[in-house]
Amino acid sequence: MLAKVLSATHLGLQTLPVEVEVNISQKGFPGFTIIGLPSKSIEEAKERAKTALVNSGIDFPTAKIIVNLAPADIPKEGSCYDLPIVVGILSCLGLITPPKEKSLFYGELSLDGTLRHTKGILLLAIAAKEMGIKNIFIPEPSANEASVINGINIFPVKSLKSLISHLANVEIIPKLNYQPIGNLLELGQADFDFSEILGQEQAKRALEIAAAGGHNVFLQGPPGSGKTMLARALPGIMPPLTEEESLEVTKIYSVSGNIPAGGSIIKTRPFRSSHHTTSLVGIIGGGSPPHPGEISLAHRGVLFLDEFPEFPRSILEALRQPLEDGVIAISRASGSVKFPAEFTLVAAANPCPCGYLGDPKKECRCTPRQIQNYQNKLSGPLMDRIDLQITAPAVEIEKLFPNKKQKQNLETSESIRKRITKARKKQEVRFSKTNIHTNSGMKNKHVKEFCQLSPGADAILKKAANIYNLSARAYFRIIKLSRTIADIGNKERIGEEDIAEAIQYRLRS
Amino acid sequence: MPRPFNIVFAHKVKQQNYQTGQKGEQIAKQFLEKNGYEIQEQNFRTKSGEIDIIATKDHELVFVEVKLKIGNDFGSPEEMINAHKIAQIQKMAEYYVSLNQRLCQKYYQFRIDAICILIGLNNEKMSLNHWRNITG
Repeated sequence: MLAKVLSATHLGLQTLPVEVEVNISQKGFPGFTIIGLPSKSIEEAKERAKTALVNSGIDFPTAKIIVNLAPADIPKEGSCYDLPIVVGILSCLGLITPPKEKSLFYGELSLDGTLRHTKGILLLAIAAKEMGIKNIFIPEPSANEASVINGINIFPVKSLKSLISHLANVEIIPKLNYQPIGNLLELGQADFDFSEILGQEQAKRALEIAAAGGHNVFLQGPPGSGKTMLARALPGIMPPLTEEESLEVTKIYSVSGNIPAGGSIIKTRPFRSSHHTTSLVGIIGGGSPPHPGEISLAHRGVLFLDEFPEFPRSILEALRQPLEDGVIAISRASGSVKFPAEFTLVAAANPCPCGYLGDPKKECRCTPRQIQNYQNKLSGPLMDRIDLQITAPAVEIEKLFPNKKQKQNLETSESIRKRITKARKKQEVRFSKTNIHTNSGMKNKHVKEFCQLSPGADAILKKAANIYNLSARAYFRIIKLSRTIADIGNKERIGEEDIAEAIQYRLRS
Repeated sequence: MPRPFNIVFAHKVKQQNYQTGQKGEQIAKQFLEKNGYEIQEQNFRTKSGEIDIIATKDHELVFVEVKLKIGNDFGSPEEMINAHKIAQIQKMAEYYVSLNQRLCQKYYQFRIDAICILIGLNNEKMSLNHWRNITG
């Protein structure tokens, strides 16, 4: 008596079909063995399957049961094989007849026979569609994740009992309705509104440009000047996710188990904030099996690193490659996976250990050596990749209590976001035929194609490159930044003032 | 020369244990026969251990481990059968199967059971539990 049930395993963001073969033999000693490179969590599926069956009112067979997870040479992990194993046992016993169309079973069982929230459902649904599988049976608490995929039948399974009566055509489980992603997307909410932030006009402008074009920002200033507050207000002006972007982001969150039970897709641009004690693997990704890090979880969103120079040198330098390529390849003995990591880096730092270097009122107490050590943490190649480097000076006390007229001049996040969304739309149209999304993602060939400089702008840039010894990368990055500034100003051609503004952001004083 | 005391004592305890075991196996045998089992062999012994009773019923070949305890003072007889003991029985059972191919073709489904008997200090039977398929 042999039964074959289809399931799947995830390798990074890749999904591979797994055939769960169950054989029950009445000869010899009774036992329950799982083969096919199972991890510890799959070994434990034995006890879950046994107890769940008994608690669903089915006698567990006294026989030799062998479960093979094919292909047998790929290591498998996770609790998602509970359901296919039980379905295999039940069809071996003749208690159910598996559906005629190709069907995929996936999910973790609870001891009482109900199904629990399992990670990786969205990837499973996408893969099922690509493989041409008609039905997928998934746990009810995670079914919402799959509902954004059209063209497959999604059956949210509450418990083993309901699945058995469904397959016996007694009580059909209603299919989950398709939900277009567009209806689910929302605008992000921030802790602070931009109108609450007083002073810091230059920093606000820089964040606006960063949000519009996806450029990296470095904020430097004394303690208490509002660097963290500025960064925390950023989610409030970030443009909404597009449908395609939302799917990309949700894939990463789904496979790493970051979507809560009942959740569907990621609706807003991610804003991730990491403490400087986070480990290298936590930020970059890694482990066995490879797990996405913070930079991948911030894909299409913002990664905020407060107290930037406090991060270990190894982490800061490891950021260089993903900042340039937008992907991180994690290679380990067990295999190599690629996670997307196209994030906007927002970093904040003090100018020196005491924090008051260059402050007009308070004296800096650091020795030159201390200052040098502190600033050496931020290496040239790393800072070269940050387009917007701004100083957020301490705010004068008079500015903290604005009069009515000054209050009216403070722009709200909402109106800034409108401008940014418009600029993003322009970029979407511009890059519709390419695979990039924002100005910051342009490669050099795109720069030549899409960024036309006015003669005056060209002259300014060439002069600046000579005077300030700009690297080739910095040269192209300035053009990309000026493209965004021109987009915000709704101009087709990059003008002199755009390029001049872009250049001044690069020169950290 | 008289034997040292502790050797005499140990000898007596061993003899007592053997007798207890015999009594338990007798009770278990009667129980199995009453329930329609046919006893194939008793005390199948090799270098590495012993199977108390080997019985058959329908298509099943059953290896039975018998545990008898007198009095309730030192825990239940079930507690005396641990993972090590079960592994030992399993090994022995597999050895028995390899020796008796013909019997095993007639009775093709194998099982390991435990019969746990508790008797009181005055030899009155207090309980008998038959645990089917302790390895599955």
